[in-house]
Amino acid sequence: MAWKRFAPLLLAAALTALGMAQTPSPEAQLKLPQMQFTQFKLSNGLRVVLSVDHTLPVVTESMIFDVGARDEHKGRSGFAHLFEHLMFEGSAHAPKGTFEKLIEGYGGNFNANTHEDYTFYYTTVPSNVLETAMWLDADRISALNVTAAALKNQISVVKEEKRLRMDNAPYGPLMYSAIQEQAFSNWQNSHPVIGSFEDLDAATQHDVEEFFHQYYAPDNCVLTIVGDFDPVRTKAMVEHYFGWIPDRSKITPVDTREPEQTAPRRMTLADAQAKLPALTMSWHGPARGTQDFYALNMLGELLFDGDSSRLFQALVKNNPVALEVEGGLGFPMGDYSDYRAPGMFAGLVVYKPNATADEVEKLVMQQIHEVEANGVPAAEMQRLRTKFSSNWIQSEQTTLSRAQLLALATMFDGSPEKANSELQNFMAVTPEQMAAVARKYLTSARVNVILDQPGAAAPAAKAQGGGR
Amino acid sequence: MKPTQLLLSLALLGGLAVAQQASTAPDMSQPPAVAPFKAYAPPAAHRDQLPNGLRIVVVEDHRFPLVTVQLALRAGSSRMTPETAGLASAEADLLTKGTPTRNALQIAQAADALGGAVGAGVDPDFLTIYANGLSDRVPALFELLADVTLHPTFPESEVNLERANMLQGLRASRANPGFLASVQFYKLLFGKNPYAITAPTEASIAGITRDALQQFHQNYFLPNNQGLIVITGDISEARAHNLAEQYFGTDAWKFGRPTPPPSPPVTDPGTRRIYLVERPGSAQSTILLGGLGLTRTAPDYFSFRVANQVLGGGFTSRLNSDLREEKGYTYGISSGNTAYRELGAWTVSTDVRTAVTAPALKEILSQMDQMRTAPPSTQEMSGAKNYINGNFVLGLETQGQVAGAMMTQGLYGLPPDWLAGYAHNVSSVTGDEALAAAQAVVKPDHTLVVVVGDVKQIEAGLVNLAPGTMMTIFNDRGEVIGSYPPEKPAGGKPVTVHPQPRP
Repeated sequence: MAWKRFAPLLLAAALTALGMAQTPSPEAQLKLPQMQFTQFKLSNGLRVVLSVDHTLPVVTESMIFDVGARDEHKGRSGFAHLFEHLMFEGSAHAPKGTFEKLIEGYGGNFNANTHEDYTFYYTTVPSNVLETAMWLDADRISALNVTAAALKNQISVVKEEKRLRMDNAPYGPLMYSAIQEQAFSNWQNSHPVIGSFEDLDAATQHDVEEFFHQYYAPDNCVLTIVGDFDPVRTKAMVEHYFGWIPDRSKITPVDTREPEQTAPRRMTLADAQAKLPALTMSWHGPARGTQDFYALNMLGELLFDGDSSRLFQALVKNNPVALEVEGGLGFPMGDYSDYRAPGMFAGLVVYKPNATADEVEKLVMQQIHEVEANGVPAAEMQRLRTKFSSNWIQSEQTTLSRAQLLALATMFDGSPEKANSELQNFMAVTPEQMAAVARKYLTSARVNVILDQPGAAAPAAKAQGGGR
Repeated sequence: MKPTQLLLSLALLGGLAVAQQASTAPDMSQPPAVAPFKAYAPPAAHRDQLPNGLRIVVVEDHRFPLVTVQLALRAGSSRMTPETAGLASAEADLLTKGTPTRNALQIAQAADALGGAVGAGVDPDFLTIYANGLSDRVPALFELLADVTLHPTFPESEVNLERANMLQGLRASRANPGFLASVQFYKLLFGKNPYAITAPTEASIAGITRDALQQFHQNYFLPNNQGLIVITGDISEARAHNLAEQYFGTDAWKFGRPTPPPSPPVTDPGTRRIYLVERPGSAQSTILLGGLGLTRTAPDYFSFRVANQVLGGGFTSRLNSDLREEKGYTYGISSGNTAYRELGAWTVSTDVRTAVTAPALKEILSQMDQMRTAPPSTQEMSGAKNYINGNFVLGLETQGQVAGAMMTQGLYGLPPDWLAGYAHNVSSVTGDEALAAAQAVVKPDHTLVVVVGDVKQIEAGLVNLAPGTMMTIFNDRGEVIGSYPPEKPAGGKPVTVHPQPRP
């Protein structure tokens, strides 16, 4: 078997080139695997990334579309996600049921997910089935055909998804809806991905056609294939199945600019399902790919990642007020890697009934101020970088995760190469930069706080949906 | 790739190799022909046993500069009694909270410096300690793993915090309808068998002391307590073996006399029983139903694996096609066999909106009935087998997944060629064998049903599905709070229950 897919690179070189104050210890010299790929673009605008790995007879084919909940308009919240469901509901030559029957029946897996800024579809299949996956994808992006019955059925299914993840789950309304609604004031950014029952019910077949024609075109898509395939033959197949589809996207960009927040916001939320109180703190974050973006993400890792993290130690161990602490850049809808702008930096603390929200909030701010005042000791910084780069490698172990990383890098950062090179930008972050972004973003003056209190909500409190 | 398959794939390419990017649509009328599966060759596994009884499996995988190590002992939650429930999982948590040379923070920082993690967890049968990290730090990884496995000190302050957090954690879990359903389901299904215990209670948490944790360590942390260490990743077989011997061999770890776990027999009561768990204001009903299933070594394990796939194993299963894609009752429904070391449990689980609780349950029972009446169609059989075999390989991409497969093989009494023979075992199942296996396991008339939801809204509809019975109602702590129909009030007339035909 061919194991050597990845050429090693010495991280130490990157660190010294960036003028690190401290000499990297031998521990910093990690062999970093580099994803190998080729890329090309069809005349209809479809961007294609191919990455070969013959380790297992497995291949992932994925499509990412540059459309998400932020592109919806008022009265149709949740539509991008509903549409994602409809993409499995039949096309001209593959009527409802065909997609699933063929992919599962040949041994594969499929799914999709909808985010604020993108929608991602994938099939992971035994490698003998790649052409079938392409045929199905080409048919649905050229000739989607959703019946009225299928639309009605999927509206019901999406409502059950909302009930499952949000309405019936502790902290569901908090995490899937309230946190965004509080932090953002532009509706494009603040409304939940899952939408409302009213808006879902209002969706028509006409909406489906319009959305399809506007966004589901080759020039608004990146096709990524990772795994066991012949690149020459596969390139020919991509041209065969996708090359003829007309370039027809007619996208009017939506205005997602977020007004600067000038004062803190606070609210209390009654949570009918929760048994323990929780609070969230959130702040507006930087746009993807800026220097602040890398620094704030590393600060998030320092504060939230694992048992050694600052907030776990402060809130769960040293002052044992909390049961659970989670957060970081891009939280709670995802992580730093899957948003474009505006960003959000947020944390969730589930705390014990004998603690107070005030106490919890003060402890969080204390830890932020500690970084602002004293930075991060060199040994801790070294561990943080080691852990981050190791997680980076861990996340590249499956064909699916590599397909998604390459797709996101191509769509958001302009090149699949960024899926390899971005790590250096995170590694180059200094303690001084982390202290600076703490001061700039994580301020008491612009914090958003929600106190989530166990107890029945008023019956009218039909929370808006949110999720993926 | 076998030569014949290569020829076939080249033949398929024929028309395409010269195809230019077309401006008119290709012929899309039929899906492309599909070549046979490429054969999957499992990675080479090196197996050995140390003199102290610890078994070793090493799988080299040099794609990524990572190493994964897992060490399992027969010390899972089924070693507990109702009085000691939760002790095994507390043991697992506290292994990494203190040793003679490191406190909890130092252990976490040592794991960070490895570029990985160290921790432990329990399942019903086994306690597994794991460590992973960058391959250039492997000796340190073994040293840390051995330190937490063999020398935990269970500091008093950490034990107290663990107890306090377990109490709050239990409270938080009771917000989760899936937790409520499974606690009650397994208690009712397994009765006096230790597999019945899936969660602690306030009282059992109070009994988790430093003494109890140390006693647990003495009793169960023995290399010959079905011990197995699996090492996968960017490391040579010889080096992995040497490190395992150095840190977990006879000099470091003495064998002892493990006690075999008790496993009293479980009987099938032979009737359909419905139990309700009250969750006021629940937006959905959580349904968990089923009965005894199969162990991995049962003769009809693979036959039932295929039958279950047809009924509730994937997106295109009968249950999901019916309840989700046709009726829109649920976001998803699935069924599965959980194979423990000594027993199995077969379950169907779904969440449906409150208003359709009874129709959904009726539909599930009807699908179960149909599964028993005729073999799956030829198309269903081939789809199910392909799915199982394809997904088996899809699930072996990461080091952790490969280590997990090696664990399954070693811990559940499976033959060394289990991975290599898996596809053949699945492919050779016939429709009649799948039917017979379904008839042995899927028993709508004997099924145990637990429904968590807004009881007042669902009880009247559900009672018709278990005619002649009384449905016990529990609260979120598992205490009986009533029944439906209600027991007759003192001095009142007996409640007459009209038997109704089964749907």
